[in-house]
Amino acid sequence: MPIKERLPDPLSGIITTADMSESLKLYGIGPDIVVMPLIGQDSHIYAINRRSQTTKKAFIKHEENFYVLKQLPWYCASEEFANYSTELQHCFSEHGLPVPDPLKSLDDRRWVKTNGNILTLRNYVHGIEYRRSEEMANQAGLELGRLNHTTSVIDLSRYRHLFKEDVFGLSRQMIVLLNEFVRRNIRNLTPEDIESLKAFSDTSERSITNLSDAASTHGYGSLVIPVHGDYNSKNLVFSENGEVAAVLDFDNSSFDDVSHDIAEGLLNLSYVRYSEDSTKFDLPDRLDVSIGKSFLDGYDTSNRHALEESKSRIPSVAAAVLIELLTLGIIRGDYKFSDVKKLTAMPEYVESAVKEMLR
Amino acid sequence: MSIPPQTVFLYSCKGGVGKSSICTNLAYTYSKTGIRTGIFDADFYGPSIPFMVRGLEQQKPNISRFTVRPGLYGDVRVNSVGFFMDNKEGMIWEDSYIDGALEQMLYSPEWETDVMFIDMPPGSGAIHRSVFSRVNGKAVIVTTPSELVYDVTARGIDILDRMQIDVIGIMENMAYHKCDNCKHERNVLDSDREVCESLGIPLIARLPYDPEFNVSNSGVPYVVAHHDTDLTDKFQAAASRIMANYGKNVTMRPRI
Repeated sequence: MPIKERLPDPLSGIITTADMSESLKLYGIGPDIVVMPLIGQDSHIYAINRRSQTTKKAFIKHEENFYVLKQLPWYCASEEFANYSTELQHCFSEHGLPVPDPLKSLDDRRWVKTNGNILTLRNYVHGIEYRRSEEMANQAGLELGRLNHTTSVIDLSRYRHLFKEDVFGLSRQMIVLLNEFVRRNIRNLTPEDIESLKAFSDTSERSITNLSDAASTHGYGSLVIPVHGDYNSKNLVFSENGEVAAVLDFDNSSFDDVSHDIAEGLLNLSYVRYSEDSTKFDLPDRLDVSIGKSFLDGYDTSNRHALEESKSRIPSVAAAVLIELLTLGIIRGDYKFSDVKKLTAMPEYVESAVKEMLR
Repeated sequence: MSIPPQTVFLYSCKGGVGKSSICTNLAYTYSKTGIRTGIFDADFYGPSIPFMVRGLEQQKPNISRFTVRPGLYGDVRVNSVGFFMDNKEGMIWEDSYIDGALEQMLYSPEWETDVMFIDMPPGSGAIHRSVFSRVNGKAVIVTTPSELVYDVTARGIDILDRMQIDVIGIMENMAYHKCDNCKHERNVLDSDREVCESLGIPLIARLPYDPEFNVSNSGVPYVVAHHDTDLTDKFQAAASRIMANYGKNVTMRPRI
């Protein structure tokens, strides 16, 4: 029998029982645990492997406590990153921000390593999902402002050279992945698909260069902090009264200009739409100006300095973030290839709409 | 745990004998009399109850914290992992996840039912170990008349015996075909051996091979879509016999 290039992973999306037991033992938890594979809200219920295709998670009950065990995804699965991101979350938590503190293992670290995988454990935070309301958007902006502001009193500069990113570089990397995707799937694509994907790729590459230049002239890189890097509604848990109960998932955190977080939060809360099962992007329509303004008002309340300092570059950064998100959606199969033409024009629209909103 | 004492496990050691169809139709036969009835689809590997009741959806299952409350399909409360999985999406169910899903969907919710039917997966494994040890109930074995199935059924009865689950009886599915014209009944499969005699278990019912029953794609169970047929009568008789094993004397006449 030929040896496969890659071992089959039938348990894709879930942490194996063996890894789970081993990890929890390192935290001194168990063995009597209940692992809950069904998650969601109201009548939207999903099996855990469906919601966690890149990040493996397990929701665990031990005695009367609920925990979330999470495996760092491949793109950030290093001990250095685990140290950085757990320390960042711990600092936020210590400063009273709604960021769950990564729990300490028996050997006093905030992560464990099991069978080569790095895992973290935190308390489960119960709450509700973002419902696209002005109040929730305002609270999301407020908390992001607090988060970004708090980084000024946390000294994580020793990690800066390891995890320095810029939003334009991330978008370019995604375009490279798209080109690779087209190359690998060329036999399954129609000539029209190939043409529209190539047009999207070429236009996006040119746009990224222009956007990057525009952002630079407006001071991109002058206020570099540890950013969340994926501030979207799926990483926020709200309490019943609409406040942010938890900011989750720091797997994309890096040192970047503060406008990265502001633009990403703004786009994700007021523009990006998810399909009914919440796992894929839907085709966005128009930017919701009142939601966007509420988000920015919230941010302004807690971190006026950063908003004022970065305001002029947010439109360019937002367009670059959108290119990254749309490209991810194409590769992941969220969008039909017949919609790619429509997608190509969206970053330009977003840039001007955000500019208008900030005026 | 709010699972009622009148719980019936529909069980077969072999797959493909029509266990889920019978489970569904027995449940809806009860519910037609006004008894509060529930179905739990414990067949995580091939959940088919959602397909059979989807035409009666009044309220989908919903989740609160981690408890998954059953949905309402007609008058029957129903829970199944099949509601939460894409039709083409598989999941490898490790034991710990099975225990958790059972906790979320079966043991934790308030069922608010008087009678409960649990559609067990074929064979024996983690689901059987958990459900049979935590839920008080009795088993109805579903089989089809063939030598192969007899042997497998005998093994299934042995498993139930080891798990100390009382067996109410056997429902023999696809046992015969009744000619539409001359009404002659002819065995469909290759054996005429009386399964119950050989296994020493009461025969609850022999059900015919009826394409309308066995191949129903409408999402509405046969006993809901049909009234006063031979088959609905058979389900009423079977339901009465099953309930008698719980010390209940229930007349299985539907409410008008």
